[in-house]
Amino acid sequence: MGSAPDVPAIATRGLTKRFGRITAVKSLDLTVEQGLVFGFLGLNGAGKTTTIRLLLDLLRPSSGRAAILGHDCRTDGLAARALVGYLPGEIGLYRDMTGRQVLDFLSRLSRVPPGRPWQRDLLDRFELRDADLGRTLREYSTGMKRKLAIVQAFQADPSVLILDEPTEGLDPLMQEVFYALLRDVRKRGRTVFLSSHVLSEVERVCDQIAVLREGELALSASVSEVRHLAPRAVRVTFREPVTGPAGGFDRSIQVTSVAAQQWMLNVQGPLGPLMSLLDGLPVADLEVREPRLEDVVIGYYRGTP
Amino acid sequence: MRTLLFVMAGALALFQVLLGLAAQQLQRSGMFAQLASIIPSFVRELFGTALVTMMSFSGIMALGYYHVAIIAVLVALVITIGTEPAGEIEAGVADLILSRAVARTAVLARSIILLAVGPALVIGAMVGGTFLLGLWIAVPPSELLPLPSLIGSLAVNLWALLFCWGGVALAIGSVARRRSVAGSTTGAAATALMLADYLSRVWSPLKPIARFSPFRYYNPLDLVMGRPLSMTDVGVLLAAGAVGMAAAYVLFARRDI
Repeated sequence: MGSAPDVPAIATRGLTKRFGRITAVKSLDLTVEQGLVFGFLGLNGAGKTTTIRLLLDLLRPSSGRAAILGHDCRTDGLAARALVGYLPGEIGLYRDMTGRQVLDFLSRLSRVPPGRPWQRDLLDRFELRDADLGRTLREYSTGMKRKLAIVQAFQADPSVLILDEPTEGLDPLMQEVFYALLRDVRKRGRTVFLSSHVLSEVERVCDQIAVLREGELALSASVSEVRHLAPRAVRVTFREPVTGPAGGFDRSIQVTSVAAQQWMLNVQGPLGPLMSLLDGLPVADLEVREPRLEDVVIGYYRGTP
Repeated sequence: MRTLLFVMAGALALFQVLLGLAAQQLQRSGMFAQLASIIPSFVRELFGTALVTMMSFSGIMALGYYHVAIIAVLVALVITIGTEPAGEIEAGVADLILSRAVARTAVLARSIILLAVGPALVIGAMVGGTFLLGLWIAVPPSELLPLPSLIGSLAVNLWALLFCWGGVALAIGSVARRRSVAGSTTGAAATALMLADYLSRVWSPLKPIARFSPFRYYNPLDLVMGRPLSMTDVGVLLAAGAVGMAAAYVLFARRDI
């Protein structure tokens, strides 16, 4: 909060991290504008968590730089991290502390007083009652630890939220609660940078995505732009057997299968050429499946976009 | 950590009380004089006057400050404190702390304060156990009371020894990926250097190595025999501890968490 609106929430330039001979992140140039929910995708080992840890100065870059709301993550790290709420993929908490003690301890480290209304709101959303908070973490289930970890990330109301696999371990109802929380913080102008394997979740909550493959940025675009890169699957059912078009199919149409009374096609772009082709044919039914994010992203994961 | 410190302080204070009772029993039965007279001359030559010194009321009361088991427990305590940052990294707790506006130096500063205050608390409890309870219960003839200056010298020298090992543990823990590795490495070094110091007293080829052993600069039996506390020894231990802590600052600042 208080940052100029044209300052990116997160910006990396040539960010590189090597571990011996292995280059986990290669010359990453990434920009995340303020106020967005940004999905950071990639297979296991692609470099997502490494990138996140570089942003938090938990890892030191081999070269390049990263900044959060204009503050260099390395040379101005305290100012950068003062603006961040972080949810790690694997949660490490003091097992002998109660939930309340953990939240209060982390709240004080964030220099905000514990027990504020926003914290109370978060606890109510995730159904963490006073009785739960009075128990030690040793007694917590995986889901309860995850909920507590989400609360600690959001409770200081930071400008930038960095979330690594946020819904892992949450039941479907709590996932819905989490998505509603993301909508609320987005409305309040906060930026969310989340990494996830669940493409349907990313498609649902994110405005923009980036795909990391073997440490390099393979794709960065809005979700709607990415979705339109994918062809639409079309199933045409005929009342009676038909033959394929004499002149073949248009270039925008890829044939999956052609049977006597059913065609399965993938159509890139507008459906106009297909409709022209079907004109005069005994079409019984036309089923169009809208493109999905995963139709494109999986291709980028494989290196065959 | 707090529980560990208070339990250890209480246990060692109680140990001092029990030592007082044991010394009282030995004194009343005249065992000290009898023990000294039955020790063969060759044993006396082998262990020197230290053995006779130990067989005295002051020697028994001071036992808690130089018994190998007590020293080992106290060194283990500072290793536990000094490797806490490594443990927090291994457990993932460090991620939640250092992802906030918390400087890495603050994490080490906390450990250094604990390394200074924790052993001081435990040794303070031992001193309290010695004087407030041990001697009050034992009530020996006044001329056999260990001098407060003796106990004070032992306490200061012992604290300096622990400060030194705390610095070593912190430095090793600052680069280790696992707490167990840091702890076992420091523990192995402490054991090896303790043995080197002890053996060097009877085998001169080990003397050059023993110079690098912190235990070389903690000679409790010399203090019990009436020699003054060597401020040079204390200074060497404090300096070594400070070097370890400075190294820890540099190493921890540069490492990947």
